[in-house]
Amino acid sequence: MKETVIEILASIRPDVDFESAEGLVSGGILESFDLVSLISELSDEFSVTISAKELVPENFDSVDAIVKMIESLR
Amino acid sequence: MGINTLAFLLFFVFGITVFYLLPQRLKWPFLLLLSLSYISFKDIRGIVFIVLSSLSVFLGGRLFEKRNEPKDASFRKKILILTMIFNLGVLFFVKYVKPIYGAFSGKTPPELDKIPFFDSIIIPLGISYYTLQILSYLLDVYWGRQKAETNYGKLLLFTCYFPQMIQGPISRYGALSAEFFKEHRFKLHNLKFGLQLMLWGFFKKMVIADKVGPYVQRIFFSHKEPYGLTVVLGLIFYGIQLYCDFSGGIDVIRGVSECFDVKLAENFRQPYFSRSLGEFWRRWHITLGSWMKDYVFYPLSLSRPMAKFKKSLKKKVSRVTVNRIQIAICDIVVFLLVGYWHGAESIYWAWGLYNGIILAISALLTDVYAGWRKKLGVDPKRKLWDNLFIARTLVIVTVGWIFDCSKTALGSLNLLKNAFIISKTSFEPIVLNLVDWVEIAELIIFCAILFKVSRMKERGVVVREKIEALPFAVQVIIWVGMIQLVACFGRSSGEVGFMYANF
Repeated sequence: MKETVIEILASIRPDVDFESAEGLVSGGILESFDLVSLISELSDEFSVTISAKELVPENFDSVDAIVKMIESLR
Repeated sequence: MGINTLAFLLFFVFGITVFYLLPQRLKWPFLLLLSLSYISFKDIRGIVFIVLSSLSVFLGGRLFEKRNEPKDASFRKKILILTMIFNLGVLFFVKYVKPIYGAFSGKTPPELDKIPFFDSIIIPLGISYYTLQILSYLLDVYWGRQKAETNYGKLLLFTCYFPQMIQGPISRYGALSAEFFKEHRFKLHNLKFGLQLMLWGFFKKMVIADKVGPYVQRIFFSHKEPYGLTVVLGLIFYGIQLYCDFSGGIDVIRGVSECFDVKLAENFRQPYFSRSLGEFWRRWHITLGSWMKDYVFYPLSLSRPMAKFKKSLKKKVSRVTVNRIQIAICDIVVFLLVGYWHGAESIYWAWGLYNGIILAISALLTDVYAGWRKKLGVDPKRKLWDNLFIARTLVIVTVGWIFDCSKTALGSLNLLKNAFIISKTSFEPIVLNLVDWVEIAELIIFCAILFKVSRMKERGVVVREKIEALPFAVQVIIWVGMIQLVACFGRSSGEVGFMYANF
């Protein structure tokens, strides 16, 4: 799952090295447009519903956090 | 009682003295008392609105925590909708009913004030700001991002904290409550930094904004219609005035609050250095922008109707295009709402549409722009291109200010048309009648100081720490110099209210 998440992230922002990046949202690396695209792609790929409730920086700040959130929603 | 008055200064000195003399447990209740007194100075009826609004979200929050089982979903939703309707309904009633009726009946505001029903409508101090604040608390508790407050007094203080009642910033409960209820000890540097920020704010407001203001008034709101360069100059003046007025006011507010050892959220981050319109709105009125992002943009993007709409599009266009269309729609909705938040008049709708459409187009044409950049060999890391992007954003933003420079949207468009009419008389009003050249020379120097400080901040310099590190004698010179600047060059013909206090 982690590789797929990295692939999706890289397709949205090819300029960022997501393997090691932290603070994706709280550090301002991902902008709101990127986040909306990311949520859309994640929802389609993993068949999960990501709602406004999940939209906190802690859930999107790193690849590991995103993977953890998807697992909890499945 | 405006924050640039002697009465406020006395109120502030009294507040600070008592605040630090009181024991810890009485500090926040005293801040609450101070805030309620401040509101009652303007209109005691304002307190009724604040108490009812904060009580509604307090009870809503408590209910969300008590009824948190999956079977309660429908009940929770009903409570959320009812509480939101109540608070937005009150805001709509006091702020929009009168202008909307005026627009349909053709009556002017003074005429409306003579009608029995309308003459009793008051706009409570800070309602546009605190309504958004308490709705953010309500939604955060509903979504489980924030624990419900169990002490009503604490939530009331969050709603009516006096420094931010005038023009924001729009705070979040998590951040502000941590500041309110921490241990407050008197620290000289808090007072020093707070006073310094206030002084800087007064410099921007009284020395620059209040001096530029009369030019803007004469250019756009006198009997003579402006043309050509006069319009351009008027727009540049207005851009300076609005920034210095609003961000100066926020500096004073944050400075006052820092003296009470309560740090408020940042609302401006050198917006005129932005490389794109999107970046500009992330650096201008930051707390309103982030409120709109968290409570309108994301929920709308993730809503069921939007998901259905996207599904219907996916058969026709690529996934990437669908995402961009979604972002474009949300951008337009958000900016229309931001416009509407400022007021019901047509200029605000037009302003929202102007910004929303530009952002929507840039979202839709991302690939086209990327292609152009590649063809032209654009390297954003190079200084030349970087400056060109800043200049382009400045032009887009400055053109957008035209909607603030007329009473109607059509009038604004007419002004825009006038800007392109270069006639013999197009510059005459400025040269002959408007300009006091000494004052203009002073303004250029003051704007240069502002630019220099802003550029230092832009490069990551923490100006207050830089000053702190200077020899004591130099610090004294800076302090005395700034006080002299405000005292000697600040507009002396009485108090001028803050532009954003009207929203």
